[in-house]
Amino acid sequence: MASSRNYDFLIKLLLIGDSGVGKSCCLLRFSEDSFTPSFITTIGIDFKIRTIELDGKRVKLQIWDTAGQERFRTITTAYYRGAMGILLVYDVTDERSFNNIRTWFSNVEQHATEGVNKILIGNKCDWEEKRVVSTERGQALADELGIPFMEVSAKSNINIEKAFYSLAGDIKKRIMDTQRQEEKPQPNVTSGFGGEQKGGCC
Amino acid sequence: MATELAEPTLDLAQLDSTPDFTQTASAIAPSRIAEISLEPSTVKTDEPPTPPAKDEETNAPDTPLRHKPSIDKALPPLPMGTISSTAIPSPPLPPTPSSQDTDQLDTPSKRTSDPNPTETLSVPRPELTRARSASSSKSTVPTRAASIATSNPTRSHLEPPTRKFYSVRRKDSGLDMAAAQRTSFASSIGTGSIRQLTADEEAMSLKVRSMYDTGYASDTSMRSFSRSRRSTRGATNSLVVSEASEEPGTGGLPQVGEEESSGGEEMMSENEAREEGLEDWEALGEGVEVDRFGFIIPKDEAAAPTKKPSIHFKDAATPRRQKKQHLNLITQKLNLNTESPAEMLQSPCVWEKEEMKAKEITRAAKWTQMAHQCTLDHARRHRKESSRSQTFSPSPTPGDTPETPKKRFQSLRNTTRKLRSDSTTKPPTPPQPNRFDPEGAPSIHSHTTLPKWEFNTADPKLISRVWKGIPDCWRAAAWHSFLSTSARRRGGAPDDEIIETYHALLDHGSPDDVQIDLDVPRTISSHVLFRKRYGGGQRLLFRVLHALSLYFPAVGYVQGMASPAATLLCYFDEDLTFVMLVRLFEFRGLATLFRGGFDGLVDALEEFDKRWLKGGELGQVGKRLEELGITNMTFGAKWYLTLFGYSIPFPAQLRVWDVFMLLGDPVRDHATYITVPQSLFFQDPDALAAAKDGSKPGTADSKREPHRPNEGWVRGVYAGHHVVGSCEG
Repeated sequence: MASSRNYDFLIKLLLIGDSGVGKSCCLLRFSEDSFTPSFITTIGIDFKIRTIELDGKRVKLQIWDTAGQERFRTITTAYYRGAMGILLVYDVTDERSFNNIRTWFSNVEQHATEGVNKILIGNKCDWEEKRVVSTERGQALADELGIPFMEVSAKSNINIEKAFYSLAGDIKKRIMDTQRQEEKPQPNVTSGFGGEQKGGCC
Repeated sequence: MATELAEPTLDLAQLDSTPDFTQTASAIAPSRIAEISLEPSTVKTDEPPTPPAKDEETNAPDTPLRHKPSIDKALPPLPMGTISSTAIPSPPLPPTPSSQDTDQLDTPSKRTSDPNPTETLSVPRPELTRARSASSSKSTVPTRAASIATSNPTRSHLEPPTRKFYSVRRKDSGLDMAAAQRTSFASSIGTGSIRQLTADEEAMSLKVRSMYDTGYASDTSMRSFSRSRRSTRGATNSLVVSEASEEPGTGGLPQVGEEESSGGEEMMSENEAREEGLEDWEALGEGVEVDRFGFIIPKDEAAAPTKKPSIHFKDAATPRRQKKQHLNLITQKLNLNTESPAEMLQSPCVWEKEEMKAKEITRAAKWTQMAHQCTLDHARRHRKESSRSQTFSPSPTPGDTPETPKKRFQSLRNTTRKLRSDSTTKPPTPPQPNRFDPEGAPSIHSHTTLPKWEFNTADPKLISRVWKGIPDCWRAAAWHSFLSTSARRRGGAPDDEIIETYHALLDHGSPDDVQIDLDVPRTISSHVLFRKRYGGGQRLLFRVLHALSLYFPAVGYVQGMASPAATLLCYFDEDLTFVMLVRLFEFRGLATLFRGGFDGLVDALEEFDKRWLKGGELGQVGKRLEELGITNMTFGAKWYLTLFGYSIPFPAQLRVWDVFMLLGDPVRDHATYITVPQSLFFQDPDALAAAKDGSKPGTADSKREPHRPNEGWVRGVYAGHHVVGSCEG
């Protein structure tokens, strides 16, 4: 089983954002297409895997989910480095989580590899009556940070797939561009891993 | 979020509803009485317009006797549900004696039967009481902070704070000594001061707490909030399911989660009939099954056992099959004999077979014997303290008297020798309930005045029985005894001191309240106790975590703490849950693990890596994980911080805890060191057999390293693997 690789790319993504914004729910929706209101608190760090197809290539997404509590940042920032794409998640019904996006972003700038793809995600967009952060404000912040933006709902399954696909697509494009520039066209190479992480197979 | 303007009102609401809490915890009702009697005008005059129900609450202290909070009382009237047929026949031997003899573990009933609770409790805590009244009478943020200072004149914000700060000073010199002992240890944990909250934090804290106070919730199915604290099982064991349902449409799925609004839409009126935690069983849905541990079994799981967010603490997303493979691998790697041990390990967990039920009952009977013996001996030993040598004391729990290590060592040696010759042959002496005379025991530690179960934690028989799994009806008693033993030995605070502190801390705001509020509904919400937003279990959980975050200010609240707290709440009332948590933090290394920066956790994981994952029998697993780029933090953090809470099925977690509670003390006692064969830590079948025979333990573990301090955690993990492997494998 170690030799047969069933994917062409391995992409590592990371979900960050305040506690309770729904990172784990987004991930559960994407990886298993389910939603449970009785989700448990993420302790430390967790990950899930889903293989998708992009432009005829099998792309395996290894998505790391992090605890939102600030105390865990010492643990979670260690995972920034190996990430190829980062989803910054806030809750459209929680002003504070939106305001903290800047902090999260600067954390990314500080700890992640340069050129890592990012996307801003406003979760719980189905909950209109509770909304306090408008789409426009979300978009404005994304523009300011120079990253794509999407409002999603893990509960109602709005835009979740789209968000992950678009981020994965961007990353794949970036990697292929890099490879082309380096004139080493090896489609099976999984680059972008840092430090302790090895681009293994399974 | 809360405005500045709202603050005073909230504070008043808080003040007013503190009694609700206290009623919820009927055990502290006595202190409420003291409080009210000290400053009746304060309470009265400051009372804002409150719902009529509130007034009843305020009066409730006069009638704590009415409430018999143990759940065995509470539940029987309910219609028996689907589970009743599989529940342990409630006569299991321990519950009866425990309610008679060990009020310690069932404090509510103790208090209930106490003819004059007011006096017993109010006397030792005048200072605290006054402080609480003072703080209650203030309504603004600064004064609240000020009241903290008043309550402890010795403390300033600059002073290096220790837990001692909270303890009520007594004249008892024994206590002083104990407290002195404790400081060194508190400093080793690294306590800090409760920092003064900013106005914003205070407002948020008050807002959150008021919601738990009043039971505000958006869930309209919630009609009441419980007035009495409870332990789901405590010493009893019968779980009954109510089929009564107010909202059959909910299908048993917990109506909690992020979409739950935290704003108070509507104040629920209190329903007198639903005390004793009956609210937890409301709206459960028609025919919803609850397993024996209180977890709601999703309706469609039986019908379609497909991939589905599972109940218990299982990781919802990992396919079961995959998980099982891993566990099988572990089992194989360890050459675990999956035949008899597996059955043994399963028997107390799932009663698929009647025979297993019978087995547990048999084992419970043995435990009853053992507990009675040890408890009696313990009490006798205390009574004849002056002539200690004349009494055989099977419970080598040093530390309750100042005693030189050498002497202690010797006396333990004797004990050990005696144990070896006596323990198997000694006929059980049924204890006489009246022999647990609270007055009879010397009050070196005040909690020794309360009768409670004792176990001889160094007894090999006990250890091997713990490895087989503590019968569920004995869990609460045994866990408490194990941790209390550690506490006595290492100079921990006695129960009632911690409990007093607990109630004092409930009045203070915590900067972590908002985070706790976020996590409470996300903690085992599939359990009947915790499923309802701001419901009974969630309130208890919140209170316990809130106080815990203040008790260890340097640690604060960290995600993950909720899981052990919730598990304990399944067995203890809130007071004892707090006591147990404090002791887990102090004597089982949790404080180190949760310490800021998680350096303790990182160390533990490194040790785990070195000694187990990469160096041990699981070397290949470690290699593979490394290949895959999966660090031990990914799974290990959860294991360690929640004590396997979210990682393995609940019954298996309990089994891990059984061993961890007994053997997880990183600082080992001389007694344990001598008496406990090293191999017993690893549950080697040969060693076990050998231990049973009284002969020298097998050599299977001889290659394992001898004891080193601070490896309690690794031991816990070892324990976990064994249990999990056998359970699942």
